[in-house]
Amino acid sequence: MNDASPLTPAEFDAAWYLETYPDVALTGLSPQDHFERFGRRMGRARSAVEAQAAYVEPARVISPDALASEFGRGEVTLPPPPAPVFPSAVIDVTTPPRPESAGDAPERAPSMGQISIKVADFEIARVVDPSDLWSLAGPLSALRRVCLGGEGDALSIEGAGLTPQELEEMQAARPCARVAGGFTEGLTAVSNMWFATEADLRVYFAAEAEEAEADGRVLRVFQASSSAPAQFTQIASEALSGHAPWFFDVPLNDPLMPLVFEVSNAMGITQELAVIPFPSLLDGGLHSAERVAFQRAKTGIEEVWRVTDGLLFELSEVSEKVKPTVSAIKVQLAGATGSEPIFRPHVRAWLASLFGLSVRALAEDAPDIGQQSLTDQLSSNDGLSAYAKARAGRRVSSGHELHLAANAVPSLGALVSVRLRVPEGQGALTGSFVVADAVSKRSRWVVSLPANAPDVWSELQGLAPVAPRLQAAPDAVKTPLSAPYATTPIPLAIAFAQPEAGHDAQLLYPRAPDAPGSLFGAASPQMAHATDLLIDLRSDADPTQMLEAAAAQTDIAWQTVTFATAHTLSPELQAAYASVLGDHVREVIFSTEPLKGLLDQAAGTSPYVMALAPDIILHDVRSVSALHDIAATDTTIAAVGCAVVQEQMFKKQTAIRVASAGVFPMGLSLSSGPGLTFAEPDATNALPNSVYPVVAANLRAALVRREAITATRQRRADLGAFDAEDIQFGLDAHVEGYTSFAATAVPVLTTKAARPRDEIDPLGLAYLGAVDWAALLSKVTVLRELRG
Amino acid sequence: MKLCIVIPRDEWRATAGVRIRYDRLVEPLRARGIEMELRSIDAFRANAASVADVFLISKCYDARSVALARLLTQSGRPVGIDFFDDYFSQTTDARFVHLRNWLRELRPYLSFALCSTPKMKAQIEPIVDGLSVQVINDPMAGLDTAALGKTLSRKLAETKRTHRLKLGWFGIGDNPHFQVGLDDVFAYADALTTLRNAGYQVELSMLTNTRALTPARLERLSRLPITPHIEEWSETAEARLTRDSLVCLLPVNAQGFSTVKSLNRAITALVGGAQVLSLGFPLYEPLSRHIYGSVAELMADLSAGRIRHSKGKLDDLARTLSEIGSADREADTVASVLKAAQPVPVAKAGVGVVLHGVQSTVAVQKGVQRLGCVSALSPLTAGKLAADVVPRFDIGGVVLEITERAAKHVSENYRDRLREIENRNGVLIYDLRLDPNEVAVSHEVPEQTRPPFMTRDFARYGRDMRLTERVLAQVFGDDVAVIRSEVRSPYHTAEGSHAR
Repeated sequence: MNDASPLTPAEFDAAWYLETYPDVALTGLSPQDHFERFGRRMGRARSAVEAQAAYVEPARVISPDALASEFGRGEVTLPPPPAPVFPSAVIDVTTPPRPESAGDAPERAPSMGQISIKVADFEIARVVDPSDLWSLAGPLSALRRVCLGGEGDALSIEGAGLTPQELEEMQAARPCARVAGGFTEGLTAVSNMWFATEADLRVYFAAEAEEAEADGRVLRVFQASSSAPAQFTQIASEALSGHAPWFFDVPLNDPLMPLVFEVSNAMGITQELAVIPFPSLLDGGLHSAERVAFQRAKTGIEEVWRVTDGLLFELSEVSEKVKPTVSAIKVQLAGATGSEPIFRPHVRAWLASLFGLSVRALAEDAPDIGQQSLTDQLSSNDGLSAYAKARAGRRVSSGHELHLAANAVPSLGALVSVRLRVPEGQGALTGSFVVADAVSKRSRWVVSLPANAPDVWSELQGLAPVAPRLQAAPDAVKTPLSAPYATTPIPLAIAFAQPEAGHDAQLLYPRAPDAPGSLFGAASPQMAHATDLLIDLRSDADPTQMLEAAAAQTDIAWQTVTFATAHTLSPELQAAYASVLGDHVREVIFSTEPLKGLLDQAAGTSPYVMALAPDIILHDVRSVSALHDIAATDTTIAAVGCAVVQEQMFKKQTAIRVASAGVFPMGLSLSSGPGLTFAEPDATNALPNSVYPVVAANLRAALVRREAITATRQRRADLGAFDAEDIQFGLDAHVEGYTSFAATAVPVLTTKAARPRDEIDPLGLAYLGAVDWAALLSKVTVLRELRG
Repeated sequence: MKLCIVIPRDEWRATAGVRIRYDRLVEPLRARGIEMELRSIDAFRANAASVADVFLISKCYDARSVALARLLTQSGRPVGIDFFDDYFSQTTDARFVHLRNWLRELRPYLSFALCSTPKMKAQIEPIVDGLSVQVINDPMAGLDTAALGKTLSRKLAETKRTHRLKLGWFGIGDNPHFQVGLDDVFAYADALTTLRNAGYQVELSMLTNTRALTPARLERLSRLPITPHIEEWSETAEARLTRDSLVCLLPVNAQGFSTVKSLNRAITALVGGAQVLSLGFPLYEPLSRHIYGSVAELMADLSAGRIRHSKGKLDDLARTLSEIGSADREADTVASVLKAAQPVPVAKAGVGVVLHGVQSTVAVQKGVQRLGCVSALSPLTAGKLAADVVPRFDIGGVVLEITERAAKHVSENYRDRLREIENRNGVLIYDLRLDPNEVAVSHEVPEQTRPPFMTRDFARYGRDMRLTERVLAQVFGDDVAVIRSEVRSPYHTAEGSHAR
């Protein structure tokens, strides 16, 4: 029947063909021409004899009912499929399938197939044989559990004698069947999908196929809206093309709501079904950066399917006893403009409809009418449909709140997780987050902060990074749970940063120079901070500008000033340098002790030593006082380093960039055994205008606690001074129970070009062996650069 | 009485701001005995006071307006300011230091202040040091209810017949400091998706300024759910857009800069014959009976075959607009403010000396010279300005090059010491040397680098500017007023910051 040789009149019963397939007359073609061009590929018979020969014996299959209730009683015979008299779909012969544009595909034939899969009354798939359902079980499970929000019962399977839930239970051996269905191989293999616009998905098929394989197959895409998650509509359809590359644009109802992809054959029978519960994971989507954070392979749609399966697996844990963690989302409105994604009605409606979550302002008292309007907008569920309003705040959960910065949205991981918990005895937990570009949605960083918020963040409001926090409600569930529960292993949020680092003025002065109060807005201290000054003059650079700026610092009383030099300076030079600081300095010492490390040369008795390199300019007179404010929040702070901003000439203009925002652990070296490597990435997008713990503060501009210098002195004496003195001090201080901090909230300037650093733990196995890494990493900020 | 509104340049007369805020007051004010004139700030000379009885500074954000205000005040003329935009209440934002400094320098010469909304008044009044700010609502133009009614009915019928929904957006697409304009359209693009999905063929037309169409914004425009048709804004094009569009989309974000804006854009759209779809901050709430606050409301009305801004409600709209801003009532208020305005006393009677900082401009230099001020460079000035005074510092003192026109303002103590050194294109140049015993130059004052480095300038700015101010006051006398000219932030010289 499938040979392509020309038919003789004896082989073809034109009258029978015309009578059996009434659509043929509509095409205007002769019955034989129709069969040659279409019927053959559609599997139609050419005569009653051939139709009878093609009759298929009833299948002997194990009935789902038998599995469910009569297991072991034997096989059950299903009724045979109907006689192969197929009403044809109407084919527009004047408009052949277009390989690169969306077009109307034929409607599904009205009476094909035995088993109909419906959401509410809308059919999304149809199969002939119950065994065909197995391949759809994964997607259908996702549909029932996630995509329909609270309307999971709207999914039904008619004609198979089993419910979607029963089908799901039968998949117990592989509970996390892939959502991708058959869209991973063959003609229907999706090579990639991405957001071509804010609300249009572009699907890319790369597989070449024989024309016959594609013929008659139709790709349909269905989506519901957040106002009625169980009311699916067909949003796109197109006859499949075997010509690669083939792009298929899908105009979405909503860029967040789940999608169903279905391919049916010419008879309207579902061949493949896929569910995309979280389209925002695709490139250009709201959660694409989160996918990149989880990504194992560099590119490819496979990662979308894999991450989706992982998220669904987490949701599959939900039961009577195991609840999702997050019960509500609260947003910090400071600095909010209302343009951020979390304020968009479709985002809040999606959170409400699918997850039962509401979004509220963290503080009800708004400082101005703009923020008050945002507070009101959130509390009234303004812009949400009646369904979403009714669902908002209805989630049955373990009772934890997720607190976000205004520029962030909750990660999908946080939304589905059942494993996140605030440990007993702690009210809240700081979580890691992904930083993405606000315009392109491209991923930039994963930022992991220590789980326990440092005191500096609670005492100096506004200096915490934009990190999400998991807040345990007083009545949060504390019962032990069956799964292995982590604290914050996944990013809790995606924070959107502007692609540019920001206006130069804001980078250089996070708080305007004419703003009232100190750098952090507090009143000036009653007494000036007594501080010793340590100047690294071992390079013979001219420190005059640095000294002038240091002398201008407000609320600082310089006590003992030590110039650490490589050789003895002339008396004239000594006098010149000392004179810049004026008469207020108690004592000036020129120290030439090459065998000593820098910090050990710091003379004086003040509780703090300000270490400065000669090229550093403290352009803001409030800088050193601000470092004191930070250091005073916790006696275990060893040092607070400034962000060093470098100005360079570029095409006859100058440009600024952050040369150091602290020393971070960035990798692993195996050059002479395992060792952590450290670097100073430009972290301003990830950690703007904030203070955060680091491995080491850059000692070119840092306030150092003298007690920490004393506590680590013996280590330096035992092991000797290394080139990377700042890292050595940071690690020494860590061993002694101290923490170092860096502050993009306190920038300083330089014109000296800095080489990118990539330092290996200078002490190696001496004391920071691999077993000690976890302790260090749990106390500092860990940055991971993403290339999405 | 004659009122002169001082505007930044002549081209500004053609802006919507002038058309809506000032042109509509011309006749009502004339009826109250007040003539109004708009004049570019560069058209003023030393005899500026002869131009009018009262002056109102509008959007002139540099030292020229300070110099002019001082000159006018010295001549006994009251000077006021009209706050169009709020660049001043963000007291911790380093981007606006130069604008806050400008306002601080201007404040002593101001007798009155106007603004267009109560929200702006609430934000500005606390920072203008006791100056009362009077709200003058933008006066409404007359409403041709018959023509407008026909337009509205025609568009509704056309939309119902064709199922094509014509959507419009117009406005300045960018702002150097705030994300507004086109950025608001991008932020609220989900409304476009909703409209697209509502069963209509949506056509989006946009009018904006070409400067706003950066590559990044063009890319974002191409990613909108509805492909827009974009044209450059003009008054004619705006009238056409509002006439042809069924709906104008007006998204407003919640940042302070946007929340104090007037209702102009919504009124322009309504009067032009378009429905208004207001999204985000409820800026246009006073017009709520006539506009849509959500796509759902708009779609519900269209499904029912009706529109909110319709022929039958135009009388109500006319009343609402009259309540918001009647030209007669606003003219009454303006007249009373002007008649009550008294010039403030000027503490110093000497010449104005404008000291150029790192970033000043030739326009400022020439403008203040036309006003009779002395224009002086600082050691940090980056641009090539033909200033009247050029100081060169060294540890041994300072040498000042002084032009002939500035020389006549030199204090009598030093006038005899002026030494003619050259004739530069017909202008005599003098020099004056102050020795170390006359001026304390205790530190090195290097010449400005090219290009200027912020890194170095921040560290020396306050110290060198203050030193230069001291020298100028010494040479030109204690009764001169030194006005700083800086058009870029965050250079700052207030005491307590960059002191020494």
